[in-house]
Amino acid sequence: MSKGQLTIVGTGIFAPAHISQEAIRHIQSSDVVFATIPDPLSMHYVQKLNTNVVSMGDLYEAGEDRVDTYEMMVTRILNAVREGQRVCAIYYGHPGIFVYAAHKAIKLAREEGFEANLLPAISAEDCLFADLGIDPASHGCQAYEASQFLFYQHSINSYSSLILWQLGVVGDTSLKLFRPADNGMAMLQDKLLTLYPADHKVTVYEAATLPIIPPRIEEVALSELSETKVREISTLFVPAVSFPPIDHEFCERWQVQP
Amino acid sequence: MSKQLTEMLSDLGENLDLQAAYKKDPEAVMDKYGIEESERDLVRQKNYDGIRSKLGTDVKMATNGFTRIYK
Ligand SMILES: C[S@@+](CC[C@H](N)C(=O)[O-])C[C@H]1O[C@@H](n2cnc3c(N)ncnc32)[C@H](O)[C@@H]1O
Repeated sequence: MSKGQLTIVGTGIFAPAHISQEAIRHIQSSDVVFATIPDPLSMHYVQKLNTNVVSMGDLYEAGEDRVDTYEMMVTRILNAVREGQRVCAIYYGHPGIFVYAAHKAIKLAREEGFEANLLPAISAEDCLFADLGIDPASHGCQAYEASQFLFYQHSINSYSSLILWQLGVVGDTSLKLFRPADNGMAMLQDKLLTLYPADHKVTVYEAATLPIIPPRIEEVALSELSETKVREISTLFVPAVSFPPIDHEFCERWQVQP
Repeated sequence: MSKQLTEMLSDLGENLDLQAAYKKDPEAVMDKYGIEESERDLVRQKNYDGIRSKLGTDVKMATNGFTRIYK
């Protein structure tokens, strides 16, 4: 029996344009391809590259909650590797960004002695920098899962940009919803108001996933955020309030010249 | 899932000449792909949710990470 191996690739956000050459080669040469791809255009393309594409969509019905679903994905991937197959798993965007199952599958496969690699790809954040014209070099950048931002005491640096992912399930602690918790957006607004002024402009962002529809770039005052519609693909961008003050004490100590 | 719409949008995503033709005359491109009237309306209105539902977008698969409060 040949030794199984695992490669996890991403389609990018707008497929097939974003998909990398190496991802294409891995999809083509694998015995089985497990796809977690919401966008039918990407799926259509992937099915042209390999005739044995299995959608992971059924696991969302089978799982008790989302975590259960992700664990089932890991099991499905690992079982195929253990059978000696060359396995490719595909996630949309970058397969290592907000993809629990991908990291876990790679870790387990390696622990069991299989060759396993996760390849980089274009993420929603990459699209955001392009579409919003933001260079993370100008103020720095911090990013969190939206519910983690709510429920944990991260120290947020308001002199730096803030990106919040998974607005579409913000505040859901049941891990069963595919929409924000009933008061999810209100909690988000409330928490952000402890850090930023009410008139601070934030952007609800959705990168283009269809060729005829431009990205959604909706700027709203923070005080209106809770009333703003979000989808499962919405990301929030919160700009820095200002540039931070200069560390004069440090500069003087090291005789740094302006 | 709408086959014609999937074909047209897939090709538009890949083919710059087709994109230019679509910009000039979207109706002619929709004729070429045999897009049916109800779908044309969604395309004309740039109705994102409507088009995605015609294509059969599975929104559940868009969420792949999670945060637990108590570990
Ligand atoms: C589970 S994560 C998957 C991210 C994906 N692996 C990536 O690299 O972009 C889902 C989150 O990604 C972001 N996202 C996905 N698609 C997006 C899009 N078209 N525009 C903006 N953000 C998007 C949203 O924050 C969404 O809640």
